[in-house]
Amino acid sequence: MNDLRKLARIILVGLGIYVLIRHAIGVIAALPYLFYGGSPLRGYAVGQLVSFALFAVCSGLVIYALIWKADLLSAKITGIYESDQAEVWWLPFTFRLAAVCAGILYLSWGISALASIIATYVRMADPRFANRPMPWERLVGGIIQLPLAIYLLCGAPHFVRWQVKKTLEHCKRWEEPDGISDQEAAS
Amino acid sequence: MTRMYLMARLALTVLGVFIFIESMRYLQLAWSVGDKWGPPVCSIGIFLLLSFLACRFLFWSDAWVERMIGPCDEDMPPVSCILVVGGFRVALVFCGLLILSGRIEILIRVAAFIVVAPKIIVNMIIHKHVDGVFYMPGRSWLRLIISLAKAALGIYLVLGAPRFLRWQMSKFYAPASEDQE
Repeated sequence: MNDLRKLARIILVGLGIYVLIRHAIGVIAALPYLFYGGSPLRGYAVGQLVSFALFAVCSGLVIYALIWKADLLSAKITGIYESDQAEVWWLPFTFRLAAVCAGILYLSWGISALASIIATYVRMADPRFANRPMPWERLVGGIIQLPLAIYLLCGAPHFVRWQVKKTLEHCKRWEEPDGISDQEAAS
Repeated sequence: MTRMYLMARLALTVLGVFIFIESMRYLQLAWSVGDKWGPPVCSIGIFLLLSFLACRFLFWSDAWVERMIGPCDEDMPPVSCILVVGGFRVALVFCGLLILSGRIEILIRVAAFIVVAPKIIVNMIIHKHVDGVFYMPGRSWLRLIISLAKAALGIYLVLGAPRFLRWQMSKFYAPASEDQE
């Protein structure tokens, strides 16, 4: 159990740092556009900077939680199970880990979408671009992505419970005659 | 099935799913480029190659797996049924979540279309008025169909890809019901 907690920490911190670097590169690439006065690309640069600021705060919180409050969070991901379920205790853990990893990526993309929405409205302040609003489905999609990310970062409890139930149901349909596949037996 | 065999198979399955998604991009690209025949043919060629690779990784990966893990170590204990099912489900659900993250817009458009569809159908039947959205160019239709296919694949994977999993399991384990009969 202890090793898996460490594994969870390593994966999550690694993913957090990866996404942070990805956003930082986006900001560095956008910086030159800030110096083109009156350019429509200024909205893009502002969006990238807002994205970076938002994401830096979120990543800082996640990394703080993973490094300083590691036991609390990894215990939450690992979960506490009854002794009669001991043989499948790893199953909710892996589903929850997958959900949290997906949540970090959703958060990254969701914040990028939010920054893009902000950039669009910054750009629309210029009368030349006032008639170019963002498509409504992209706007709604960007807004929906953030609550989804938060749900996944919380470990998606209902989803994980449903997946574990379905996996156990699926397992009941199969049994291993001798635990070895026909191909391996033949070889 | 040993633990290493399972891990190799899972890695190839995840790779296969993402290669398949990538291949669809080239199919879309084939109709998006200009009137010259060279780039579309090249795009379709890449699409076919990637699709073939994805099918190899997803359905006929035994040779690849054996090449990856080397000769079978007979001392390794076989993995339990639940580890195989759980491993496949976790990997497929993770892939599905990542695929769906980019398809939220299309899902919202589908939901909106379902809401307005009755009105459009009534207009078509009673007033003989065809909505302007149906007159969009062929490449837009193709983009829509590919996006819908990707969203459908993402939903199927998030649900745990039951049929694919059953097929994978049938290669290694006998179903419980057959033995009972």
